[in-house]
Amino acid sequence: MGPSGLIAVTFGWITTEAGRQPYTVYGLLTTAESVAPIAAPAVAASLIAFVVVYFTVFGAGIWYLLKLFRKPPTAAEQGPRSDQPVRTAGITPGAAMAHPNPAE
Amino acid sequence: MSAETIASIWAVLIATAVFLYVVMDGFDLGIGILFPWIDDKDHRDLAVNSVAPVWDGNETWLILGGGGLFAVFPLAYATILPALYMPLILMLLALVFRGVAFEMRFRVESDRGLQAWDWAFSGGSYVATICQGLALGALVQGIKVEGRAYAGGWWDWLTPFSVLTAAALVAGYGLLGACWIYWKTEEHLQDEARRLAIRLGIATLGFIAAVSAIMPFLQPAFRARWFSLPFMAAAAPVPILIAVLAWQFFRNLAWENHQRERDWLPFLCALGFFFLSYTGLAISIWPMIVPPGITIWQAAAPRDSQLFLLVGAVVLIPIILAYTGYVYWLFRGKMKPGHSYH
Repeated sequence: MGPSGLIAVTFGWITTEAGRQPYTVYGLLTTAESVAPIAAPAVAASLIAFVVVYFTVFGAGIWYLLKLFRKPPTAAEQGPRSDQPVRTAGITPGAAMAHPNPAE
Repeated sequence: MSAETIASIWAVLIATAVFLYVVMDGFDLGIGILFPWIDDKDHRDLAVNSVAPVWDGNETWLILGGGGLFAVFPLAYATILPALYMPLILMLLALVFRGVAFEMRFRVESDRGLQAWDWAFSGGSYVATICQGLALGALVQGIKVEGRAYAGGWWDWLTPFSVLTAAALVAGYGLLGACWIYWKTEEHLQDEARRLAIRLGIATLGFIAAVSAIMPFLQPAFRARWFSLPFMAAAAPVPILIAVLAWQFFRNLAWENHQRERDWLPFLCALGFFFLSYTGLAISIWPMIVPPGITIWQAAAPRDSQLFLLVGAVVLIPIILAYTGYVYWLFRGKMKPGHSYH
């Protein structure tokens, strides 16, 4: 059942977009009138570029996530220190972290 | 207020947003531009950390500029974006790599991984800057419009002049980045930044001179304005101001080597170079929003839409300015190696 919500939203979106044709603004502005004069190769190139970049970047993100999953918890692990605030997101090893690089 | 007044207010607001974007994202893109010259990993970490708390806030202004154009000057949005489709899409993709690299650089375990994300950070900064420079050059040179639509091809933005403005922006952003590092760091890295800033300062001033010399010959309208008496009288102080700033800049960096109390001064001078160049550009183009043919009043949305959005802007912009100022204040002072800055 997990992805069913995502599928429902996607199909609902497709229905809306397809059902509105040939209008962009229903009854007022047609898609043919509102389309930008951009050459088809330019649009194709940008679409391919977005697909490649998103797969690369999200792929890298998932790669690092999986690396974190692979590391099992151990009994010797220390919890967060109670005398300092814990960062929730960030880029540098936080002062409150026992180990400078949690991925190792 | 008449529609013309509101459109003028919006034009000034959007021009201000774009300027704030240019100088603020300029210095953090500049860090990426300097990356190939910063050899030490710890120094690169420090340079990245010096902009980590502010870089994404800096990009807010790009969204305000673009969103404002979309909402208030729809005709400008509908002609400029198709004309600059390639450089703008490429800029966004480059900013993706750069933004992700901020997080990923500190997640890698191998040298190869670090090298890859350093490349993503630096390469993304270069491509984004080059694209912005190309877009600027192409816009100033003029966009071909027929009726109410862009009438040129998808490579029209690539001209010798736009290549020149792209190179100029790489040097200019690099200069802002070097001055920022010089201000925010100490010892060895500060010294590296000082040397880079001197070279980039010379390059930037050269590019400003070159672009200024070519500008009047790009369009008859620019020529008429530049060589008219009121403009020349108003513009006469600009080269003098640039010279004064340049003198301060080089004196601080090159001749007062051992007095570093005024470490913020080169950055201020670099901001001054940008401000004067930007103002000169704005005066040349005014009241065109899409040179050579569309004025801000022709491009403006209906009065009620503009007024409605202006109410929102009057509330939001002070809030953005306040929290931006607060973040800069909070992270003031020199960077300390090994500290958290996010």
